[in-house]
Amino acid sequence: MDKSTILQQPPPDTLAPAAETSPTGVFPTTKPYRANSQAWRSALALLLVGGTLSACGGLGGSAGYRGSFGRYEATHLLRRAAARGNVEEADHLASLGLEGAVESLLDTPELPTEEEPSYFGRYYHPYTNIWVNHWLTTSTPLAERLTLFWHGHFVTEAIKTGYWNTYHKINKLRELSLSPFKDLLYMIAEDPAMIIYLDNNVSTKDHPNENWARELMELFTLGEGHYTEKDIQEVARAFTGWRVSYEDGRHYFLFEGEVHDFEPKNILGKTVHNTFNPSFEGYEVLDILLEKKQTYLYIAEKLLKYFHHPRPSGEMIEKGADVLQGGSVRDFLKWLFMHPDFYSDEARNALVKSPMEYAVGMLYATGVREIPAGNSGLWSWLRYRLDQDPMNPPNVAGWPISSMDWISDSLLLQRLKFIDFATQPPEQDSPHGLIDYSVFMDDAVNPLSLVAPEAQLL
Amino acid sequence: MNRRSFIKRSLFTLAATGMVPSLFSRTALAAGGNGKILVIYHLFGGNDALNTLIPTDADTYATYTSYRPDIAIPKANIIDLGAGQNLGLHPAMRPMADDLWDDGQLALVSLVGYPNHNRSHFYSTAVWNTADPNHPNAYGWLGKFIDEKNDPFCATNFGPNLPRALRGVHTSGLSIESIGGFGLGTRGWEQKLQTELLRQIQYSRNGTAEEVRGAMEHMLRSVEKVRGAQDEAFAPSTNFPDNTYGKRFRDIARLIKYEFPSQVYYASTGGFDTHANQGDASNDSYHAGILGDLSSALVAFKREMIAQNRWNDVMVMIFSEFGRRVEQNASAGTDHGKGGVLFVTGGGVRGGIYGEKPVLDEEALDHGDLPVKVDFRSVYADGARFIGADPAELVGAEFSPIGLI
Repeated sequence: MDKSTILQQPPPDTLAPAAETSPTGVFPTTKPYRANSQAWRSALALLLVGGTLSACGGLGGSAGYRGSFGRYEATHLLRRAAARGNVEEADHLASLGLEGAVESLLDTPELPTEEEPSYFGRYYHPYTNIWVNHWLTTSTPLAERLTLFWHGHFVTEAIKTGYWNTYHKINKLRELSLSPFKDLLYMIAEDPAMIIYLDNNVSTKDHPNENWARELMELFTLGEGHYTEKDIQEVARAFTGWRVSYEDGRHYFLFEGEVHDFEPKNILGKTVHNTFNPSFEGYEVLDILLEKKQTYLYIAEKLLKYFHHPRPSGEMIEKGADVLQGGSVRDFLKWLFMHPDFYSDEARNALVKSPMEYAVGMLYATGVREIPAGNSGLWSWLRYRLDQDPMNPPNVAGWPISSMDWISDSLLLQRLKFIDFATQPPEQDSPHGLIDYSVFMDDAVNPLSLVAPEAQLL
Repeated sequence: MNRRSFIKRSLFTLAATGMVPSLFSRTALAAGGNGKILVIYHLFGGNDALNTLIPTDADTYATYTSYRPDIAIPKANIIDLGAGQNLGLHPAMRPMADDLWDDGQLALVSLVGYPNHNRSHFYSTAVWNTADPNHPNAYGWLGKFIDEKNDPFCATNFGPNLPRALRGVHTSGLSIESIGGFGLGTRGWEQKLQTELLRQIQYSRNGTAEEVRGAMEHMLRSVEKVRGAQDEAFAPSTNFPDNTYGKRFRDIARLIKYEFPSQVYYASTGGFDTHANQGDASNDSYHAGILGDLSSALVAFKREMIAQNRWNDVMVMIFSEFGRRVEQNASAGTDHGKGGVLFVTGGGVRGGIYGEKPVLDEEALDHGDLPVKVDFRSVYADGARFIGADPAELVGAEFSPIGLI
């Protein structure tokens, strides 16, 4: 009988020895799932942390993580930060110590060469391949996971903006991914893809288009419920004239005074009226939004849901918002990655991988470092089966964030089928590294292990 | 044969045949209720109600064209709904007019929405799906129905993500992208996968991992259930159009033919957020295209239901999260508004105009929008009653059915 299909009984308890039952065959029998194999360790860490916290008293959230930082913790950190990795990288991080590891993950993003529109021809899949390949090879993979966050936040859909414009926007987001939020917001307001996407290009004094104004406040800064319909109308007026020009096959930001509304605007209780340089009124609106604590509460909560826990505590959101408002995204992530709660039992494997994270992480684990340029297989999986075409978010609100929405009946089934696609032996000439699933999922040893619920998580 | 392989084989047999086992026991409870079926279709983005159901009396029509010089539907093209109505349909909806309205089976609920309207797509969609304008974060308006049936197969969504409408506290509906694409084979990787899944779902976890484990169990049971429908050939009596609506309605018709236990079907299609260049009445205009696609698919569905002798058992409810501004914007499009139009049809549906006719005098508008005159929950109340649920329980006692049946 083929041992690879033998169904293993669950071990009687979590202390049972791992299944050393002579795995053979194409897919060796999986190592049984041991949910609590590290429980004693985490419990100990938690006790230590608890002790630390009470000892520090008033310091509260500002006290960093003091527990051990070995392979186990570094694996969690790497999986969260980068959504890809292997045991070697985890051990390297562990050897740097907590702060050294965090600093190294937050290194200045490595930027890929931006390809000209002509590179892509009429095809869509190279845009996905380029991003995935960069994620698989970059020395700063955190920047890729973070760029996916910002692209899902400052959404544009390539199908409306033109593919290259959204690609260019993603490249700029990567460059600024760790910057102060202000830099990101200023960039996106004058980004041609965004101006096209939210119809500001056709907004005029006589007929202001409210699409950009609404999403700027509802989705990009304050969040729903912190402005009025009147504010939206006034913001739309302030941004009239923010348009794009088209030269030599590319779009550029341009201010067109002829369609600008020169009357004063009242936004969130402040007057915006720049008669000296009317093109600055848009920036003044951004500054009003950037002064609001609410903006940072909203962004911090979203970042915490993406990097920490699906239901972050109010205390974490509050503190995170302060860090973000007073500094940069890098400062925020450094604070989070050194926070004791980040290493708690509850936080480990608490987030659902998006399809990009799932695919990149699994391909990396199987040793894949490059999708050949002409190969549309992965793109097709992402777009048609896993429901995350990275160039086309589903709508202006972006993708679900670490959400069970990714685990509906149909998507879950496709994700499990994807294991077979991603773990196929490589073609002869494609470069393949070492197979190592340990960062993709704790205790995973082979493709069949990835059927466990934990493989869906990070 | 050793014990392990025996267990493996047993579980596999169960998985392949869907017989008995404790894992699948709840499917045995699946029942068709009163045999009635509610199909809910969400037109995501905010359908432009004023270019869908258009006022045609001379004064209002003149105001209409003055608000919409680039996108007003020419009067000659509007499908007249009959004497005294002073209302007409967008010409792209000709199939619906001929096959549904003329048969007295198309109800048009005009100026529908919810109080204290919010112009966000996502907030509004959440309100429609929870029937709770104040706290649209909880469970779906059909969640109670699904919880009471305690059967994930009593409601089916076609699409990648399960809409909030079908989320109950304990039980949620099924969600599949298409019938054909939803299954696990019995050989190779998919067989191994199935065996391993059956093993993995036996161990409970904590936190998110436990939620995923539960989702795996839900998915496995769904696969079993849908397998039966896949095995049965489906040759519809009519050609469904080759568009997204046609595909969805065809799959729904297929499950109904198979006597799948769902009493609720849900689907959603985007593309209605027409901020720019929404177009006029011409055939290649954008809004005309999507309304035309919807109309032809809906009519094909009716024909197939008649062929299955089920048209009287079906109520189709088509909503959008809001209507759009009365005045066009500079981009020959329209921005987010308030009052919308909702379509209901079915063999037993009493056709006609419900709610109030749009009036475009400035004082009749709500800050430049069509106002909301009919609370959508009273329309839901008809849907709830149709499938044998208590409307008061699903949408609140203060919303009585408006009498669509």
